[in-house]
Parts: sequence; C-alpha cells; structure tokens
Amino acid sequence: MRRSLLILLAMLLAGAAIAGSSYLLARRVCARQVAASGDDLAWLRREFHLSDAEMQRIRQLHEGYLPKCHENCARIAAKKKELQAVLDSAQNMTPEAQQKLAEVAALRAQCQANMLGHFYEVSRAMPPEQGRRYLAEMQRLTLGFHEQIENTMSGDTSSPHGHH
Amino acid sequence: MKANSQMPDDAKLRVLLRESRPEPEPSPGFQNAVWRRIERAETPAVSLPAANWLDRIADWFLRPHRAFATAAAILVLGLLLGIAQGAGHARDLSKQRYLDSVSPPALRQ
Repeated sequence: MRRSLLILLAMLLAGAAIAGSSYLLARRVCARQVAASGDDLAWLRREFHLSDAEMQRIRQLHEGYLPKCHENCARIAAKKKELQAVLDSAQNMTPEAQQKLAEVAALRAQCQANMLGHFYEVSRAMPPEQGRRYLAEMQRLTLGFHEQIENTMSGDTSSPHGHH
Repeated sequence: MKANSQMPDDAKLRVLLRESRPEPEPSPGFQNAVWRRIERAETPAVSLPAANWLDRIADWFLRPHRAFATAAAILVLGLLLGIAQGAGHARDLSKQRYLDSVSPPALRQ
C-alpha cells in the first residue's frame, strides 16, 4: 500500500507540474502576442466584428481625435499644477483655489464632451447594433467611475446593488 | 559377494535403530490442526479495501502507454486552459489599451 501511495503521489506531482507549466506557457504566449500587435484599435475590430472599410473610417476618426485629446490632457495637467501650487501655499480654502478647481473641472468637462463626441462619431461608423453596444460600453467605462463615486457619496440606493 | 553377505546385517541394524527411537503418538486433533494451517496458508492475504484500490490505480498507471497517454492528456488540458485564459487576459489588455488611448486614466479619476 505504501509503495502504491508513493507512486500515486509522484504521479500527481508530475501531473500538476505538467499542467501548471503548460498552462502558464500558453497564457504567456497569448498575452505576448497581443502586446506585440501594437494596435490600439485591435480590440474594436475583434469585439465589434468590424470590416476593413469600417476600421479604416474609425482609424481616421481615431487619429484625428488623438491630438485634440493630448492637447486637452496637457491643459488639464497644467491647470492641476496651478491648483496644487495654490493649495500648497494656502492654509484654508481660498477664492483663488476655488477658482482653480472650477477651471480644472471646466477643462475636464470640455475634455469629456470632446471624448463623448468622438464616441458618437465612432459609433456611427459601425453597424447600428454594434454602434449602440459600443456607445453604451464606452459611456459605462469612461463616465461610470464618477457615477459610482456620486452614488456612494449621496447614499443613493437606486442602483441594483442597493436592493437586497 | 561381499555386499550380499552384508545385507542381512544391515536389515537387522535398521530394525534395531527403529526400535531404539520410538515414534511419539500424535496429540488428539493434530491432523485437524495441520489442515487448518494448510488452509490458512493457501488463503490469499486479506487486505484493506483502500490499499487494494490504491494498488489497482498504481498498477493501471504504471503501464508505459497509459502513463504517456495520461501525461499527454494533462499537457493538452493545461495548454487549452492556458490559451482560453490567455485569450481572455489578452482581450482585457487590448480593451484597456484602447480605453487608455481615447480616455487617459487621469481623466477618469
């Protein structure tokens, strides 16, 4: 019995080693292939089953949007630096700090409006059903974070998680 | 000639030796006890069910072709699971990549 038990234990260990190493190897190869593709839009094509023509149109929109997005981000970053400097120099909330906060918020809102405008354009370049799905997903991913915070802060229990 | 003349003496000697060592009478139930021992020796050793089970599995796997087939099956299973999991992970990575390009993380915080 002892000999059989040792044989079975050795086989289990060998099996676990084979399964574990093959699993990790396959997983790594898959992830590396995606990383090597280098295309930001690869997910769109796969997820929304887009044709070459649709992808070409979306790529144009994407490349047109990126410089505006980077410019907005740079403006937000500069304004946040200004806000940080004001906050560092003051002990209380000053009108100047309030002004800077409002400016950062306005820039963010403008950036988000541009972003949503881009999402609408991209969704129109897709087949209608895929476009609706894309728009809903992008709104959830980009605006959902704020919604989640606001719901938490306001104690709103209208979300499905609030009902038990 | 010499051998033939000695034979009667040898027979007498054997009779004398046998008589000098009287064989003891077997105790009552001796024969039954012998048969019981013989039966016990012929009966296969009683083993625990768990031990029997482990032995059978170990014997099954110790055949080379079965061992190779099992190892190959585990390898294929591991690869398939890795590919499935890797594909999901890759999809998440590429989704995150697109999201980062159109909506920088700083904007979502």
